[in-house]
This record gives sequence, C-alpha cells and structure tokens, in this order.
Amino acid sequence: MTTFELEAIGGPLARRLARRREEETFAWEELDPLSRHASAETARLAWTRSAFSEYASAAAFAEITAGLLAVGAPIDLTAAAADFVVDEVLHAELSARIAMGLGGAVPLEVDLARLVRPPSSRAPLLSVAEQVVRTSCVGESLTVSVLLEAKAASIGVVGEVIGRIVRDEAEHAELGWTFLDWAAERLSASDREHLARAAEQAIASFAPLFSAECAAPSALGLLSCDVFDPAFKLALSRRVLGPLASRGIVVAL
Amino acid sequence: MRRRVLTTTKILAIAFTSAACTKPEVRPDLAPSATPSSALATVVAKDASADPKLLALQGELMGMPRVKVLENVAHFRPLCDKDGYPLVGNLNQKAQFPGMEVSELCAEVRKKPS
Repeated sequence: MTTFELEAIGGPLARRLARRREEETFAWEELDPLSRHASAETARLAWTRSAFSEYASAAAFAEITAGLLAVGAPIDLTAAAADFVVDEVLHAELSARIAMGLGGAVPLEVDLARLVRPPSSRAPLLSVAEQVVRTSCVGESLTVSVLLEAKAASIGVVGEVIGRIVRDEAEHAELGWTFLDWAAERLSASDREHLARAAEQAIASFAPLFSAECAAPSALGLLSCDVFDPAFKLALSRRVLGPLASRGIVVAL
Repeated sequence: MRRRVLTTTKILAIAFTSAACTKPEVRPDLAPSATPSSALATVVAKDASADPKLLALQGELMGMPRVKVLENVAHFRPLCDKDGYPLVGNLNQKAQFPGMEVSELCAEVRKKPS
C-alpha cells in the first residue's frame, strides 16, 4: 500500500500533456477563498479520490488498449482507447489541482498493483469485452450522468473542470457500445451471459455508495444524496441496463 | 554519457493538516491557505483556541520529518469493491461524511500525551 500522490517531470513532457487543454484556461486562483468553505474538507477527500479514480481509469484503458491490439480490433477503436489513457491522466491532474487548491490532498492509501480487476475469462476477445463492459459501459456511463449533475451544482472553476472531464467521459462510454457492436458477430450466447455477470458485479460494487451517511452538498463538486441517488438510478437504467439489454446482455439485479 | 538528474514536481501532495480533527465549521479569522506548504500553519491558526494538548501535538508534528508525519496521519481509502479494486468510473461526487476514519484519527490524536 502507498499514499497516493502525483508528480511530474515538467519541461517538454509536461507541455505535451498540457497541449490537451491548451484551449482552456482555468482560474485556479478562485479556489483560494473556496478552501475556507465549510465543506472544503469533505471536498478535498472527494477530489483526492477523484484523482485516484481517474488514475485507475487510465490503467483500465491501458489494459483495454492492449486487449484490443491482441484481438485485431479496428485500429481507430484501439487508437481511441489508447488516447483515453491520456485523457484520464489529464483528468487526474485536473482533480489534483482542485484538491491542491482546496488545501492539499488527504492521505489516501492505495494499492497501485491492483488498479484494475483482472478479467475472469482467458479468451482474448471475451477478456477485453469484460474489461470494456466494466469500464466503459458501466463505469464511464454512470460517471457521465453523475458528473453532469455535479457540474450543474458547482461554481466557477470547479464546474468548469467537471465540464471538461465529462466531455471526455461521454466518449469513453461510447467506446463500450461501439466495441460491442463491432464484436457482436463474434460473441456467443454464453459470452453475453458472461458479460452480464461481469456487469452485475461491477454494478453491485457500488453498493457502499448508498450506505454511508450523506453530508451537506456544496458548490465544490459535491452532490447531496437526494440528487446523487436518483441520478445514479436513472443513469443505471437508461445508460447502462437498457443499452446492454439491447445488445443481448441482460443484467439481473 | 553523463546521467541526467531529473527532479520532479509534486502535483498532488498530502496536506499535513490533520484538518479532519478540526471542527467542521469555518472560522472567519482563518488565514488563507491555498498551498500545502502553508496548510499546517493554517491548522495551527484554526485551532488557536483548541485543546492545548492538541496544539502541542501539532507543534510537534511541524518539527517532524515528512515521513514521520505520514506515519502519524490516519489514511483514508479510495472507493473500492470488496476485493480492494477501485470502483470503475468516477463516482466520488457524493457528499459523504468521511465517517469513522475521521473519528478514529481524532481519537488517536487526542490520545497522544502532551
């Protein structure tokens, strides 16, 4: 286990990453007064966790990229997955900047050797399909809806950063549906059954989100339970279960 | 060929505030703190009227090397599944209390002798 922090070398490498957002200028100085906001402490935890979630998503798309290469997937699909690794690294940086602007990260204990759950199938196509279903069809699809709510409820630079992230996450979700449509002819009925179980497992893992006591919402990117919970449930139905079912992957919850 | 010595810059660093132990309400006399380097000083300012034992402990922490401070700070956990893998996607926007982690940290801090 290690304490999660991020570092950069700077120079040409940092400029290469910065090109991803060169058209955007974020007013980071707005965070200074916000760091004294009553919910800054809770927000620092949320944004540190957010940086780590984005970091883990980068690892997931790196594995998806390798899996797509291994099955000879269309090169533009593979290139998109590879590109998403960089998107997620940038999101980690943006989340980190908010956490730092609010006073710094909280000490988050993470296991960098366990960033992505390994697929349970060893068959190359089913293995990458499992990763895609978990990451894009479930994780990214749910993220889009929740972040849209968070953006609407946030002020200034916090809302702008969430907006920047959600713009990418919508594409990341779409990759999942594109992959399934491409692979449709190659997936058997039992493969679809396997993918349904993988989706169920991913969805079930969100249960702890609904057991903890809710704090007050804030304009620092945090949603109250009465906004988060319905948004999550609606997204689960419309953005995850429905599209999966239409592709023969029927999830029983 | 001489080997380059590369230095890195932290873009996400722990604030040694242990601020979870401070009261959640914000006092109007707080000094601004936007950088981690000033965060510890802010905590001292936040707790100027707090328990003298806690204040002494914070002073003690200020003099500690970074590694020692980290040993003395309770760690939070990312959102994970039952096997410890991070939840897929980014669903950290729910305003949840840090929960027992905070209570435990505060209890540990207050147990320390002055």
